[in-house]
Order: sequence, then structure tokens, then C-alpha cells
Amino acid sequence: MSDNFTYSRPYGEAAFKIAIEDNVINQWSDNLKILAMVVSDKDVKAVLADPKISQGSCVKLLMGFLKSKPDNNFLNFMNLLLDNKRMFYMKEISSIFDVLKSNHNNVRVVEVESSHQLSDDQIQSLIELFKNKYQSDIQIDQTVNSELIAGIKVKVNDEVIDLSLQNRFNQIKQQLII
Amino acid sequence: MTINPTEISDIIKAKIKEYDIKSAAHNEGTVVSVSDGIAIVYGITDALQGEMLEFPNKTFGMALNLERDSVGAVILGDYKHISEGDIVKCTGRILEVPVGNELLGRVVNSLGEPIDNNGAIDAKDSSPIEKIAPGVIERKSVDQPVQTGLKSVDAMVPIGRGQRELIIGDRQTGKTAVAIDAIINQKDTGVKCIYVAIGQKASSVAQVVRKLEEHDALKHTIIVAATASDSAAMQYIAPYAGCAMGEYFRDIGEDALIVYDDLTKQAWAYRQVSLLLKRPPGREAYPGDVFYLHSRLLERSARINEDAVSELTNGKVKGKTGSLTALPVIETQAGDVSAFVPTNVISITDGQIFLESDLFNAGIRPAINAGLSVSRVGGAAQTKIIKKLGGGVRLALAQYRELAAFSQFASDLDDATKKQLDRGQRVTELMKQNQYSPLSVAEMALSLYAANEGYFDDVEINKVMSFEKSLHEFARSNHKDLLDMINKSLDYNDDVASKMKSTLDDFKANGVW
Repeated sequence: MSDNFTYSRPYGEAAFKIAIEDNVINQWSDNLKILAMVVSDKDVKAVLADPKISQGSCVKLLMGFLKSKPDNNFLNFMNLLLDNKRMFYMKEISSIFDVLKSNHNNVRVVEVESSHQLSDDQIQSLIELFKNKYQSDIQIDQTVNSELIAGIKVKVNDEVIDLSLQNRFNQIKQQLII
Repeated sequence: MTINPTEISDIIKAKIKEYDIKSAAHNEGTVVSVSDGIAIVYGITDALQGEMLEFPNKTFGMALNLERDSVGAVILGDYKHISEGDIVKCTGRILEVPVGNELLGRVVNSLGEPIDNNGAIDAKDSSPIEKIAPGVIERKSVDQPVQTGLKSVDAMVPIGRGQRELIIGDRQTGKTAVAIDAIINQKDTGVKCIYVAIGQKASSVAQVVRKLEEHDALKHTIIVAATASDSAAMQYIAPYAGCAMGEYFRDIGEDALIVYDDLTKQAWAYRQVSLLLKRPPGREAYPGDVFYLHSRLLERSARINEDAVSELTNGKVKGKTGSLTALPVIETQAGDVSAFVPTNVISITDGQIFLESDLFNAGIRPAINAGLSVSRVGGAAQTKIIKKLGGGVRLALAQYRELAAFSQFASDLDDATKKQLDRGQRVTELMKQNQYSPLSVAEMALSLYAANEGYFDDVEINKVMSFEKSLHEFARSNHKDLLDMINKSLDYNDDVASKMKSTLDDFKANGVW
């Protein structure tokens, strides 16, 4: 898993540089996301791995899934990935691209896990809080996880702020087991 | 013992009340793979080199490889419950062990946890296992001796406080015996000892503990044990953990002696960890930094001056120097000192005690090769009396070795040569010493004086040891004032010489052996 990221990083960075130059960041980001989903499908994997199917047909197949017609550079990018047999790392490439994109736009993605659905007011106050902390725009990804019992768990990259009741119980449990 | 149920619930209640929940932010990552005690962790991009990582179930690991997208960590202890996808938390701390006087007399593992069934250790201080050695400004030259109580060591390869003296030899040549005798002889001298056992059989460690206990030497000693059944990571960090415990005494202006038994096995353990972390192998498959592995460890053994001690203790201890003396042990394979690890450690240390299996089998124990053993700084620290009297012994042995080889061919020898050969044989015999019977400076001085002045010349070779033993007993019962005087002043002058002469004359006339 960590190796995949190492192999994918140059592709993600190169793709992002081209996307900036051509000012097509959002299209590329969408297309990469779609491709990542498509490539992870079992049947598509089988087609791509089949030596009898030519590269041109593979590109055509993949193009069919895309929303908008890709530009020339994107086609070349797909061909390059197929040449180098890195198409299956699309998921990592896409996520590297997205990280670069949010850095570029000065946006931080904050994953918030909560025991119950948060109200708009609550989300707004979280956004304000993190805006101050990170001095950047905030995009909240909210998920509901009833295992937390109560409270929230916030994740920004590797940094975790765990304010859930589940965490407190776990800590007490570890303390009591001498 | 019956357990009072209310007592337990009270404890729990108190614990719950006191308990402070930590909700501070932390970094976390996920385990990608676990094999052979090595975990590859994805995430934790801010991890430090050598940082303690918390795995599930209070298992800890140490971050060793910081790569772009992953961290390679060694797991300290059992790793069978850790699986792919487990959460790993950064602790923000470099690996630490408890230090202090509370550890004396205890047997602990590489993390400082007691393994001797004598209850928890209530140590107040802790110290990171990896520290930078004292710099040039803090140091002081070595000028006080560590008495090992072994005639051959103290007379020929003296060790000073703060010195690193290597004990090297094949298996079964008495390397551990020399080190244990040195520890036993530190009884009542105020020198604290640390014995680090790396990759040894648990039974050997148990035996060392028992022997130290028998000779009342455990109470000034800490045993750090990473036995052969412990993981390679534990064996790799054991010397650093022991060193941190020794540094505590050095930094509060006391003297300490640390024995690493042995560093060959630590290098093996490090090689295993490195290869599993996929670091490129070099000579003998050791990684590139195996020299630094030992040099940074041994560099921490040092003598520091009064100012440094006062600074380290915030002015609480003034006018005292601190020292940590190291006796690293290296096991050679079939006497090959030019292998990778032995040459490294020989070049790092301030001298070596070279033990030979041929000498050992010939009954010369400790089996010290007087020609190859050297001490580069110990001479400045040697007690005056031993320095004065021991010089002759070294010379006599050197001349004897040369003549002995030569005299194999010659049938007719002149008187002077014959005399030298006889003297050499007796001195060789005199250098023998039983295990666990360290000698005081005065006893040693008496033996050396007797050898120098030719009192042994008319003693049969096989009677030399019993002659010496009776001489010591005789001196202890009839001339105790002389022994006490020498042990106190450690000085050599005409008065001492004449008193020793009269003691020896008295013994020759009245003693039996």
C-alpha cells in the first residue's frame, strides 16, 4: 500500500503540473476519480490485463466511462500509464492529485466522524474553528459512526483529535487493566 | 493472601476519579504489513527517528526507517496480536528507560521492566536510550583506577575510570569471568555496576545473577538481560538501555562500570533487524552503519569534569567528577580478530584484554595474552605502587616469551638465560588466579614485590600458587597493619618496601606452603 503511493507519486505530480498549465484541474480531477473507480472493477481489470486486447481498445474502453471528452494530454497520460503498467495505481494517483489540488487551492479536507448527524450550525462552527487553526479554507467530509457512542472524531491528514466517548472508555479500560 | 473486595473497588474508584482523559491531538497511521517483528506503517508522516510508536494492546515499537510514504518500525515484545490495518499512534517521545538507584540489585529487560519477580521498580527518573556522548569541553582525562582485583589485568593492562577496555577472545576463554570478577571487586568501592547480557542463554544470565548474589555484589549492580529468546530488536537496544542507566550515575558525579556481554551478538541482532528492514547489506552482510552502532555506544562511556556534573545536576553536586567505564566483550571465531566487528571495536576502544584458548587450556587462567593486550590510557590511572612493581612483571614476561621460543633449540644455556627462564616461568605461574577471588591492592603488591625481588626463585613451579596463597594468609594474620597501610595510601616508598621485605623474610623463615 505504501509502495503504491511511492510509485504513483511522480505520475500524480506530473498530471497535476499539466492540469495547472492547461487550467483544467477540475476536469482532470473528475476524470481521474472516475477512472480510479472503473479500474478497480474486476471485469475491467481482466480486460486491461488481457494481452490479446490492444492498448488502443483499452483506451477506447476507458474513455467510454468518462463524462466529458478528455483532452489530448489526458489521452497521452492514459497511454503512458498503460505502457508502464501503472494503470492499476489509478486510485493512488487520483488521491495524490486531489491532495495537490487542495494544497493549490489552500483547502484542507477535514474528516469528521460523529455518532449522530451534525446540524448545519455545528458544521459551520467546526469550519470556523479549523479555519483559524490551519489558516486555510476547510472542506468537511462528514460520516456517521454509531460506534463512537457520543462525541466526534476529527482527522486531518495523519493528525487525529478523538473526542468520542468510545475513546474515553478505551482509555479507562486500559488504565484499569493493571 | 486474601483480597479485600472493598479495597479493590476503592482503588478502582480512586483511579476513575484521578484519571485524566487525554483528548489531545495525536498522529496516527495504519499497519500495512507485519513480519518477523517488523511493521511497515502507512501514515505518521511526522514520526521521529527512534520514536516510540504505540500499537494496539499497549505494545510499543520503535520507528527506524523513515521513508517517503511509510515508516519501518521494530516491535518491542510480542507482535502476534498485531495485524494489517491496526492503528498505530505516535507518542512524540524517543524510547526511554527508568534510571536511578532504585534499579540497583534488580534484573530488568531492555525496556527497564523488572523480570526478577521482585515487584515493580519505583524509579523516579527516566532517560532516553539514545543520547549524544559528552563533548570535548565536558570531559576530563582518565586518572583514577578501576581495580579489577585480577593481578594480570591490574598489573599489565590497567583500566582507568572512564576508559573503554575491550575483552576479546574465542568462546570458552573466560571473557565473562574477567568481567564478573571486576564487578565483584567493586563491592564497597562506591562504583555502581551494570551488566548487560545480550543474546545469552537465560540459564547463563541466571547463573551470573546467582554468583553475584553469592558474593554480595548484586546490591551495587543492575542486570539488563536480553536473552536469546527475546526479539532481535530487544537485543539491539539492550546496550543503549544499560548505557542510559550507567549515564545516570556518571551525570550525578558517581562512578559506574558497565559490561556489554557481548557486542558481537548485538551486531548480529542489528544485522537481522537491518536486513528485515531491507537496508542494503555490506561486508559480512552487516549494514553500512555497524561501526556507528558501536562507536556511538562506547563514546558515551567517559569521564566528565566537575563543571559538567554541577551543570547536569543544576548545582546540586559540586566538585565531583563522574565516570562511566565500559568493558565491552567481543567473541571471535577461531581467534580471527580481523573480522569486521572485532576490528571495528578494537579501533574504537582504548585497549583490549586478549584472551586465548591455548593459554586457557594450558591452565593459565585468566588466559590473558600479555603481548597482545594493551591499555592505551590506563597507565595514567594505575595506582603508584602497582605501577612501580608491575613494570618488572611485564618486562620479565616479555623477555621470557622471547627466550622460551629460542631455548627450544638450544640444549646448553648460560646461567643468566636460565635464570630469566626460571623467573619467567614463575611469573607466568603467579599471574594465574582463581575465579571469584579478587585481590586487594596490598595483596597484589606483595605478590609482585616477591616476584621482583626473587622470593619465588627457589619455590618449585607447581608450588607457586600455594606459596602465594599462604603468603597472603600469613600477611593478613601477622602483618595486617602493612596491608592496611598500602590499601590506604596506595603509595610506594622506601618505608613500604622495607616493610614488605621484612614481611617476606618473616614468611620465608616461619611460614609454610
